[in-house]
Amino acid sequence: MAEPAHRIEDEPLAGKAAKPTPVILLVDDDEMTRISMAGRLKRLGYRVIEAGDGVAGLAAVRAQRPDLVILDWMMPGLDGPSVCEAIRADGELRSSQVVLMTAHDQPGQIAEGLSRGADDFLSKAASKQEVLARVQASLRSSALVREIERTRDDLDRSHRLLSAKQAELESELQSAAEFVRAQLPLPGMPAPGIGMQWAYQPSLALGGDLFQVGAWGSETLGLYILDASGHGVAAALRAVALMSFLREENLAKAVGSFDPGAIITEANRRFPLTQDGEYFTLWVGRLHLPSQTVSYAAAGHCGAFLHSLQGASQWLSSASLPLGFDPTITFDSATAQLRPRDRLYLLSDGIYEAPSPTGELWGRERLQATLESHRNHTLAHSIGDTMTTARQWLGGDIFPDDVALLGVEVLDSSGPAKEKS
Amino acid sequence: MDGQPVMDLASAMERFDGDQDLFLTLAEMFLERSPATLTAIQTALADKNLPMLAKEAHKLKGSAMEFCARPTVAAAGQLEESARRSALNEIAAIGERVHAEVQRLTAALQVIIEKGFPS
Repeated sequence: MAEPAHRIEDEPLAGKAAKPTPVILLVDDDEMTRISMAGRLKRLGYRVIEAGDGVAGLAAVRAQRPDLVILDWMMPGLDGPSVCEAIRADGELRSSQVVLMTAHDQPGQIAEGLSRGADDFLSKAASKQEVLARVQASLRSSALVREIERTRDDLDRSHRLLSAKQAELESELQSAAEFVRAQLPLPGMPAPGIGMQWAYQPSLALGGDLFQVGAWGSETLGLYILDASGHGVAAALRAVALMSFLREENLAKAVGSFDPGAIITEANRRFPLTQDGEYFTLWVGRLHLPSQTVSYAAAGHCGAFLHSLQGASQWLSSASLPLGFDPTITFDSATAQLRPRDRLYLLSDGIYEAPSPTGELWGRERLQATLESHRNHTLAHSIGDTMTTARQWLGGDIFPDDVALLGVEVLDSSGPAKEKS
Repeated sequence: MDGQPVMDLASAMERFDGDQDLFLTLAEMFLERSPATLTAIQTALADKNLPMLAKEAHKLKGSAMEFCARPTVAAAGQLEESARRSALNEIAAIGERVHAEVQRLTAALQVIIEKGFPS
């Protein structure tokens, strides 16, 4: 007649005691059907909770989060399809697995049930095999959905954690960037008769290009621009270290002179190539204010551009190795004469190596021509407009390398250059 | 209809996975409820209360399915269908058939409850 009870041990659920028993919520207003189906499901190895109508069923879905909901179609008040719709409309419950159970099995009704949110159908006349097959299929889906939800929750958590960590890092980076920026000179008049303006745009929050203009002794103005290879935090930290070396009081002590060649020679000794192959390029100038003579030396740096109104414009550079490549070499100073309204531009290679969208570099010639085209404009205008022209060439705002452009101007006796009307 | 067995006991027991206690529990419930069900159907027929008739017939159909009592399921299903279609000319005769099938089913269940399952 009927199968013996022990046959159930052959079912897939048997022998998986380590896994939690799936929980099925059975919602049916008819007590006889409920007792029957609950008894059958329990015998198949499931834990069954019961609700006697749609409202109680919906509350149980919320409270118990069962692995599967089996819903009777016809119930007073909230019927099965309405409970389905309520579940699908609830963001928390939406992914529940719902099987509608009915004594009808017309295709039209099945279609309606599916369209109102049921995952599957179960006839009240279903055999044990059919009940088992449908319940197992639904529980498989339910397990997959829960796994996806767990993964999604894990990802959400990781994402929130990472976002918080990133915000923290960005805030620290911002503080560091502000610190680095505070090392830069204030635009204006670093010495009587000398005007100065600059623009600075690191490629990341922190840049490895730094520059300074300041008094070195009573009659001389020291000015330098350095470029630490690489970008970001490591480059910025190394740049600040070299900047400390280049402070007036340190130079007096460590070099004993403000001669650019001597300064670079000593810096070359003190800042060897790092283990990662990082290094500096450096341009140092010393402007003797009474004679308006600039002496300068460079270590692998692209140099400075002297824009002369009366004499010949020239690049103040020299073929030399960057710092740290050979600690034994000596760097020599060269000199150039400034005249009233001459401008000396210190710049990083990032500005003239700005690539166009097709990859063509802006180049020193175009940069020089742009700077020269501003001979009748103020220094601030020249710096600002040259940056704008470089960005136009780049076709964007973010340079691939740090960009610094510093201009120093010898004011004539009648005061700073006025904007040409 | 009388020629068809009142229920397919083997299929019913297969549904319950051989759980005789569950079968007996449901059989007793059916016996307890069937007089009220028949009365409700009679009242709905007399009052021509078709929604009530369809509902009671539907419930009866669901209960009879538990025992694989196909004649009762079929008669109750027809009554439900006729009530939904408002086929007033059919419902009295189908109502009588439902009554007779329920009597046959309750008698058969009564035998099992009192004498046990046939071997």
